Amino acid sequence: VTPRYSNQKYLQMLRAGRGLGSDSDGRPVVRVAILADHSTQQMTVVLKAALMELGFQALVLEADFSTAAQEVFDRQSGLYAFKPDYAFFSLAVQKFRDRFLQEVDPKRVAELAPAYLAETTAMVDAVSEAGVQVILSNLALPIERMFGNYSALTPHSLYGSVLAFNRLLAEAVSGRKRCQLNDVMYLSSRVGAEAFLDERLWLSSKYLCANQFLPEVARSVARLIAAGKGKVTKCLVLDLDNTLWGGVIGDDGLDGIVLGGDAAGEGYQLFQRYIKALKHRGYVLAVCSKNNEETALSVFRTHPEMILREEDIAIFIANWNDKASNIEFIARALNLGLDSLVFIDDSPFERDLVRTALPSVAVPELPEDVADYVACLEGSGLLEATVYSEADHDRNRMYREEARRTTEQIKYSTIDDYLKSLGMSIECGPFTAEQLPRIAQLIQRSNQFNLRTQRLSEGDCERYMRDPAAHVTIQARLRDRFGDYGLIAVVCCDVVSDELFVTELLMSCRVLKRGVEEYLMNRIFAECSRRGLRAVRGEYIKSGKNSMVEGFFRAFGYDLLESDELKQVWRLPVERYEPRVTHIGADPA
Amino acid sequence: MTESDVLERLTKIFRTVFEDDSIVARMEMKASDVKRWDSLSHVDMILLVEEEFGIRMSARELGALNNVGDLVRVILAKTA
Repeated sequence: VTPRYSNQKYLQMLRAGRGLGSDSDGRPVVRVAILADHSTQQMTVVLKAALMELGFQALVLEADFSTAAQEVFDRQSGLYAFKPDYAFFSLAVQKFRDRFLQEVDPKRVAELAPAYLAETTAMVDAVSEAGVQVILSNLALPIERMFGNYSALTPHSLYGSVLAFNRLLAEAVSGRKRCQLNDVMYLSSRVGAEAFLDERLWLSSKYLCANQFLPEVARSVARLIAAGKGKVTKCLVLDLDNTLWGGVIGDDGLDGIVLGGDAAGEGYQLFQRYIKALKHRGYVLAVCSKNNEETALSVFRTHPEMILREEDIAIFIANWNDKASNIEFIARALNLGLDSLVFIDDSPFERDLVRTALPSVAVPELPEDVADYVACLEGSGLLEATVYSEADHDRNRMYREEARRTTEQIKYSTIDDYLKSLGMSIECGPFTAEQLPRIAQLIQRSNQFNLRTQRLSEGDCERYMRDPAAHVTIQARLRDRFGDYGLIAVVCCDVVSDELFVTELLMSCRVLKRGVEEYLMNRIFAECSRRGLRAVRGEYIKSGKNSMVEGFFRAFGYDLLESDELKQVWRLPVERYEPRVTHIGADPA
Repeated sequence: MTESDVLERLTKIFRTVFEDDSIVARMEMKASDVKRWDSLSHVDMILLVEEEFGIRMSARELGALNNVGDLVRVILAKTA
């Protein structure tokens, strides 16, 4: 058995990082500045390797850790000349300990955590104001408690003080736009503080942690960056036999499968409960199993110990086709990219097949024992969100409705008949404060129907909302007879002299070809006329994922002004736009 | 375990860490004799040695190694 963490594995990653060339080979480039109070030579290399694993070419700048503060507050410094996309602040608990042990005045000891935080956030804010996205690490929990169990209750213990600092830091991050938390406290506690913190390495070389855990820290940062760029998983594709229950339903029958009862049976139930909880947090569930459909469904319908029910599954595929084809079908039916799927299957054969046929699907290496399934999924780092709102609770239901629509569509002879039959109504208006988190989330998640992929942050959206004279904002919710899609489109425009410039226009792929595109364009031109502007100017910026909207402006009759490999500029005067007919009724909102 | 057993296993580690397949560990070998043996790769090497031999070096031992022979003697003492 290969251990999960080892110096061998660390060294492999270090060598992978050293071996990386400077040619991006078409991969998106991210520029990351590491601002740390510990040594970072190894971290820099390992972080490059971690970003490469996720398909990014990284340029990493290490700021000398003794001068990090000066770099941050001086706009002329090398830090800003580097033009980083991300600033990664990495804090060593040993540095915090140095300060803590120096303080003698009890009052100052008690106030160290907020004071240390204030120093940190001052740097964070300076960088953030310069337009750089921030990733901020919290502290590993220290070995030193000083008062035994009582330590957790008082900031006069190092342990208590670090706990207080981490709590304040989490509040500071959640209160800031353009700032993400890298949870080193979690990573270190998962492996244990005694293993994570190697005092010898701190004393000799100021290392944040034992080398073998550096890949874990770097991968965590890389995943935050990827998530911020819209690379998040959205759907769990589940095998059934020996994954959701023990045994094979087709052979063992309803009475013979292992579910509930003994330790293994409880294990499968625990895994199902966890999966169900993920569903309630916005993950879409699909089933992909080699079974007869009726046999497989019978477990969901009649087994008394089942936790997941038929209605928890957005799309249920049980047949004898190969799993790669079935997974492609699932992605199409749900209108999700293959790279947003996680395939969970106990069979090494099926995992291998899917990895080979569909390399962009994430396939965690599920362990033998069901008791380790949850830890495997958590350890895989595939569950990374940048934001959570209560609207996510219902996402699975919307996808389930979507899968039903896909089947329904076959019944109607023309697309117009079908669209009319949907009974769609839209609720459309400028941004509102309550909607901002949802709007920011849609901006982060939309990849394919996204014209410029500017990834405006919640803060950016708020600025747009607060200045309606200079901007046009549109958010739209769609409903039809199958259900409510929730927020599905976002538009931000700038008034530039006598024209309207479309800064961001994106839409959820779930509502493609329903007439929402036309509805939005009608609305943009209506807004243009109302303000007495003369034309709309738009751009298509190639992102590698948005080729579906390459012809978007042409379809509306825009004139192409400029075009190169990466960008097209389009313009259409107001008097030449003919409003489009849609089958969408307006909700009076 | 003999001195030459240890040297043989060290040779494998050195080749991995110092990225040179022609290295052969010798008792009198020093950091200055090896191209990529600097303070950073020294730490990587020591940690791999710990993993390979199932031992733990003290902070003092980390700093007190003058040549490969010193390292071999520490390993032999700790695995005896």
